[in-house]
Amino acid sequence: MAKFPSIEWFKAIQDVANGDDRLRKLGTCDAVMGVKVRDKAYEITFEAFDCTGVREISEADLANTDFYLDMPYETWREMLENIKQNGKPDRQYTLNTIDFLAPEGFAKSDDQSKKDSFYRYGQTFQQFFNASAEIDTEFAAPATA
Amino acid sequence: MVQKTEKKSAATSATNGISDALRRKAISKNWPLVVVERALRGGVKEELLHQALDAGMTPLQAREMMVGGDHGEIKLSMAWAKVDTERGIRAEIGKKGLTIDAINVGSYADVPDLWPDQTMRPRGAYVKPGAVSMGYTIYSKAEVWADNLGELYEEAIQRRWRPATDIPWDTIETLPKDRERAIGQICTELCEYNYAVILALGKWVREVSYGFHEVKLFLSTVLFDAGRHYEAFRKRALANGSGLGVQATGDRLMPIREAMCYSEMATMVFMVNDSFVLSLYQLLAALAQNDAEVKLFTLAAQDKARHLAYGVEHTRFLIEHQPERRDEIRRYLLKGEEYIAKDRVADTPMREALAIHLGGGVKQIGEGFRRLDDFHRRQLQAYLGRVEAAGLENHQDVLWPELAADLQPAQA
Repeated sequence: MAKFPSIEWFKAIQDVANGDDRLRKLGTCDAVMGVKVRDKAYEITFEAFDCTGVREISEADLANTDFYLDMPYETWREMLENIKQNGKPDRQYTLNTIDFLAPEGFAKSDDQSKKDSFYRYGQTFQQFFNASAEIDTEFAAPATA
Repeated sequence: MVQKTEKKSAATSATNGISDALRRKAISKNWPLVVVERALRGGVKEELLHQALDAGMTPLQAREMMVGGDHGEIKLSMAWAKVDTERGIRAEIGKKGLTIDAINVGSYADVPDLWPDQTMRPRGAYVKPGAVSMGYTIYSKAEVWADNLGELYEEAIQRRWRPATDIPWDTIETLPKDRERAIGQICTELCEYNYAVILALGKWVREVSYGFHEVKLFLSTVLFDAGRHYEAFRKRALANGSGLGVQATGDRLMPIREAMCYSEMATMVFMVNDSFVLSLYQLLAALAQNDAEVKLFTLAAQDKARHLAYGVEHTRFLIEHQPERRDEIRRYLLKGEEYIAKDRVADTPMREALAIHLGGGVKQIGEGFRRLDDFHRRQLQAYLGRVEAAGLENHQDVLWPELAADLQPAQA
């Protein structure tokens, strides 16, 4: 069981995603995606047909990614638990829907042309998170205010 | 007994020096034996004649090869193999396979700023005097180029999809009539937009000279994408009882059709209109009523984001290499914005259909219009972000006035 968020958790779904032909069949993807959960930040690199790198970074380094996903911890948890149920999200929990419904967006970047990677490879990023259904995730206790 | 038969079939006939096997094959392929005989007498090996027969060479072609009169020697020109092009190129195969960028090595990687050749000569091939003109009108690299063209072309090929089978059409269930009619109207207008893109690119892609083959290849994928989107949206409109709606006013399509130069058309399509359309695809995927619409509009958004990646990079390249055209490009942007703003007012069917979709039905139309204002603001902010990324900063200061109103927060 891997704890979310942690480098072990991201590496675990990287292994699942790369070992599954579905990611490859979506076609090539070259992008660096950031993930921000509470005070933790991660960088996930996609190159050609694979997810080639996962590492923890500082919050400041999120500026070096093409875009980063940022939403409250409880929304992360709801999304991942929903994915776990069916191996894919219900319509209200897709990355695109979450982004659309969030007033300030879910995918963020100072450079719109880089942020467009989020749409350009949308299926690939969705498949990456869908891979989390294959592992057991331990969620942290709710944060105290 | 068997051995004897094989020996006999391999034997050479006493007449004309032609083996039985060759004789039978020549007869079966309607070659006159005199041609075979002459070839053998001229020193052509029997094995070569077998190959020629197996390859389907006609007797006439065989005679033309043997131009040595009675001696029957085969004389090949081979001049084509000695022309002064760069040889010995061995492109490297990378993680994505052998890509169009990977074969841009040595002199083949040289994409000149001007390519005045009027013929279909592939870049790097030897010039053949007398080759006919194809009537190209675009010879300037800056007019069409972007440094990400090879990457985008390969991506378009890799990430292609098939509307007939990749979309789970069977997940569409009966919707309330107002919502079904709304999606039908939206799809009708999206069909029309994609048709306009097909017409515009179909006209311009033939004008680009072959020295910039990456441009022609990529634009061909955009043409195919637009055809696919037209097909897929028409299918959605006709899949669940809605049928098509009313034709669009078409204001936003006018400057695309009437563009006088490639960069004007590219700015209209790949910067202005595609930017607004990508946001619309995102909205439609987010408000999808079934898995078919989620996948349909997510896949369409992927294609559209790729087209925009060309638009931004092309504009950046053009301004960097021809900075004197900065104001010209800005005028094209404003022209596109003007027609988008006109469409916003005149296109009542699209406005109402989107409000019904956003509100969740005709009864919530008021909430739908409020959300539509929010959507237009985000749509415009994304557009301005792309214009800035292309190298045209502070465009919000000169934005077409009627469109600039979208930046104001919606009234509660």
